Amino acid sequence: MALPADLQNGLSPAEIEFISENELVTLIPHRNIEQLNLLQGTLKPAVASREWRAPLWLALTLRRRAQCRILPPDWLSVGKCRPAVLREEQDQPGFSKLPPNYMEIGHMLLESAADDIPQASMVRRLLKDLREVRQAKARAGLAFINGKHLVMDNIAWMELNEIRPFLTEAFLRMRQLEPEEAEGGMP
Amino acid sequence: MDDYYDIDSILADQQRIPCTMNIEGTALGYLDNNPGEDLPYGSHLELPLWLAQALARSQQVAIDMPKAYGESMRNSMKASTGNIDLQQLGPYYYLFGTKLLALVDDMELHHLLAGTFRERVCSIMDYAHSRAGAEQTTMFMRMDNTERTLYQIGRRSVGALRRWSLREPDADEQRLRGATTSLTSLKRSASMM
Repeated sequence: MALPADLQNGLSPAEIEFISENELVTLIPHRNIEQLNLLQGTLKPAVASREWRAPLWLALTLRRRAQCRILPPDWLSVGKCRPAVLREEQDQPGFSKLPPNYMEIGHMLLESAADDIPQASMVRRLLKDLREVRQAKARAGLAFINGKHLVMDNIAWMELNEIRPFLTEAFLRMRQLEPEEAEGGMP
Repeated sequence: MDDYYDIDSILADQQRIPCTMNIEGTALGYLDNNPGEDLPYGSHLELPLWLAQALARSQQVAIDMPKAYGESMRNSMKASTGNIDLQQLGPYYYLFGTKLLALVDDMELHHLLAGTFRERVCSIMDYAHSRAGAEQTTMFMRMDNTERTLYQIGRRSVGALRRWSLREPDADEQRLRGATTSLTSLKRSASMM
C-alpha cells in the first residue's frame, strides 16, 4: 500500500521498456570488441564489420556513440508491418502475432537508430496505426466481459499493461454484481 | 464478503433505506424525528443501511424497495443504460445495490445491475482512453463512485503510456524532482540564516 497508486497494479511503461532492453538484436560493430561478461551471459568477442548478437541496451549505447550499425529485426519493416495492419483491420478475433515487446523495441529503435531502418518514418506511422487498431480491438473485446475470462491472444506487454489495472478492477466489481446462480455451472 | 477497511463500503452503509416496522417500538420515536414517543407497528421510516440490515435479519423491520431501484427506474434502465445519472440515484449505486440484494430476494434487480454495469463499463473504458473533453465531464458526473474509480484507474494507465511514448517524466519522477528542489531551497534558506 506504500507504493504510489499507479504502480500498485503492475509495472510502469519504463519498467517494461527496461525488461525489453535485454532482447538480443543483430548489429554490425565498427570496431573489434573483446569478450563481455554480462549478468545475462557471456558475449562472444565482436569482429569489426561482422554481424554480432548483443542485447538491445548495449546496441543502443554503441549506436549513440556511432560505433555500430543496428540491423533492425525482421518485423520492423514496411514489408512486415503493412500486412500486419491490414490483417488487424480485417475483423479477425484475437491479435496478429507480433513480438510481445514490439511497441518498446520499435519505439527505442526508431528513437535512437532511425537511420538504420529503411523507410523509418513510414515504419513509425505503421506502428502507430497498428497500435490504434489493436487498441480498438481490445476495447471491442471488453464488450464480452463476464467476470470470468477474456480472450486476448498475442496481446503485447505494453498493451496489456495499459488495460490491466482497469480490467482487474472491472472484473472484481463484475464478480460482486453477477448473480450467484450463474457461477454454479463452472467447476 | 467485502473488505473490512473498504471506505466505500462503509460510506455505502450510511445511506438510508425505507423500512416498515414489524414490531411496536417503545420509546423509539426519536428514530422518526419524534423523540419521547413510541414508534407504532407498521410505521414507515428511513434507517441507515447498517441498522436496517441488523433489524431486518431479526425480523423487526421489513425492507421496502428504495425508489432508486424501483419499477420506473428499472424500466428506464432496461430501455437504455448509457444516459442514466447513477450519481444522482445514489453515489454508491452498485455497492448499495449488492448490499440490498443480500437482504431481499430479487433476481431481476440482480441481473439488471450486472447488465447495466457490463454495458456501461465499455463506454467508461472508451472515455478513459479518449482525450478528456466536455463529453467526458458530463459522463463523469453521471457515473456512480465505483465507475468513477474505474475511470480514474483507466486514465492513469493511459496517461502513463502516453507520457512514456512522448518521453515525458512520469508522476513519480516529477514528485522526486519536486522533493529535491524543495530540499535545495530549504538548504539555501538554512544557509542564509
